[in-house]
Amino acid sequence: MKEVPFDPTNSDILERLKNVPAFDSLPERHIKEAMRAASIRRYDAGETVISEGEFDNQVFFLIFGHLKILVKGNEVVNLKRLGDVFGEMGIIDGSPRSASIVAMKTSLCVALDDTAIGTLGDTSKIFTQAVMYRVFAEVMAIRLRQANQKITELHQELEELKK
Amino acid sequence: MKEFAFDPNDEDTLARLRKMPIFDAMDINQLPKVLKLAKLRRYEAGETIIEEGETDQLVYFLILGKCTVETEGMELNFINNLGDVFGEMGIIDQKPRSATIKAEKPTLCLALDGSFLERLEGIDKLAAQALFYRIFSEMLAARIRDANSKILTLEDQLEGLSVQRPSF
Repeated sequence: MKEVPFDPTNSDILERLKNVPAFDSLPERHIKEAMRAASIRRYDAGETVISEGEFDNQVFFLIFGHLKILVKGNEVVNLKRLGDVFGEMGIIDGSPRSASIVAMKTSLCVALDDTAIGTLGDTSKIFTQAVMYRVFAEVMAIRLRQANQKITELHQELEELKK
Repeated sequence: MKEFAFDPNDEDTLARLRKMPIFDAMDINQLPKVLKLAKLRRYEAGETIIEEGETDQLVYFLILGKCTVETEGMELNFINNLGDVFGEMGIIDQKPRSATIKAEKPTLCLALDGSFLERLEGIDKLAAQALFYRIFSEMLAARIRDANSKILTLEDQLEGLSVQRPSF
């Protein structure tokens, strides 16, 4: 893995970030402000981005590449889309990582460090948090709807079997 | 359902609100601004608060009482703690309501229209967004974890039942 600080003059990354659904309604200067605590990470195929059971304070946005999510060695989901968010649960409730994430091919991510956000000045901090938590809430609302849908399906299946 | 404006002199309700992380975290100037945009709603036992399939943008904070959460007629959960938040998904992704919420006994809620986050101004707006979305995220994370463990339990039960069935 190679890590470099987010460079606000790097127009390529900034262009991609502007196309992330979570950021596309924000003016460029706001994105730059929110990214002051961010770094860019490049992973080679096979490298682990997040290890199940570990504690850390990072949330990631996928810029390009292909990652897979594994729980206890079982493949759960693939991440391939620009702006896919992962790792947010650890920041929110400080719980250990509930899944591993491995790069399937060369992948580029923006990593936001919660501890680093804490060291920004008040205005930048509030700004970054407003953007970040809004994204989290949107992502998690989708995940919760999917999980609830699954629960309803499983309930129905159980009822069928009990008949 | 009876709806009335929040009375800033209502010390009892204010004290209850102060016990909620979301209102406790607000500074003394911010709280009245947000509460001005809020309504208090009182429901009788059996009344529906949120109807599955509808689209509206209200988020609710439970002040007292008890509510049930149902999806497709199936009871999923209870809401009965001071400060429990519900209906926040509607403001986050503007999708139709995914569950019905009913008052099981007389219930008092604070209702906020989701557009309030856009109606505040300047740094107040950002600070309120950071705060609300953080609290929403925390709640959603807890609910996702609950849902995931429920999925695991149900899958285990299903597996158990499938094993019991005679296979030919």
